[in-house]
Amino acid sequence: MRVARRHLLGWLLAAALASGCTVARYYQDVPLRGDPSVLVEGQSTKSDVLRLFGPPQQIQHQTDGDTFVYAYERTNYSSLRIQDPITRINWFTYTRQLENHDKLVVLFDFAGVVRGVAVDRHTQDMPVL
Amino acid sequence: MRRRIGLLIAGLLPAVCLSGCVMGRVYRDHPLDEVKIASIQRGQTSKQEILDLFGPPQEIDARELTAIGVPFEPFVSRRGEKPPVERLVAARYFRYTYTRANAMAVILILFNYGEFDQKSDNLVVFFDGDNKVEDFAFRRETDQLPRYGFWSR
Repeated sequence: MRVARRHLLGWLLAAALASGCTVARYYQDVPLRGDPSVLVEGQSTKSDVLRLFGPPQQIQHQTDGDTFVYAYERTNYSSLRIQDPITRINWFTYTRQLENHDKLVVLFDFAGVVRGVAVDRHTQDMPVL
Repeated sequence: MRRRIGLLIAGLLPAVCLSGCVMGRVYRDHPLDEVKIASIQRGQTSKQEILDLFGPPQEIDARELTAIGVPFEPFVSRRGEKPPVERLVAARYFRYTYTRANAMAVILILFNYGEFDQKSDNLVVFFDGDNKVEDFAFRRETDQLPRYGFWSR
């Protein structure tokens, strides 16, 4: 009985050593600066937006004017893997990847006046693991 | 008890000795000169001067500007009417970028940690219909890159 338990413990220890945990982080660009609430629809201009938020990551053209897109992207990845120490077959693998972004979209009309603002902040809500 | 501690140390020692650290750096294009950027003047600096200062841009807005906003009437052939007048309907711009990325990974036997952080300096210059600078914006982000990943964040 003791020998069997020792074998089992030894096997589990070897499996644990062959296993691993991985944590990874990916960051693209920087958090949004400026306060979008200061933009007034019908009054603020393209110049105001450029001065407040800097150059946009994307400029899209729509049939009724331009759109500026500002974004900050984050990805949190974690995985747990338990592997057979001899055959290298994975007994168990768990992975989780969370991709989130902060995004600000400003819509302009042809005269360069703000016609719409949308902001979304999700990177702060991401769990550590 | 001592023997157990000895065994534990013996078990952990290879985990530390066999571990590794990876660091990587990515540099794309060249840094943007802030002195040159400060010399841009709205309504005065021309497109050619921008090209002389910064060279070819990484991105050019290549939108066809004649399709939208052209009044319909001039297409109908009426005697004595003027030809269609092009109207600037969207910003034409040049974009200059300098991108840097720092990668860092700690590889242990039981635990691995990796980090990749990418940031860009961006200069966007908008031109008006006379090819003069209408507006521009610059933002430096690469100085916010953490040098040693997690430890310097």
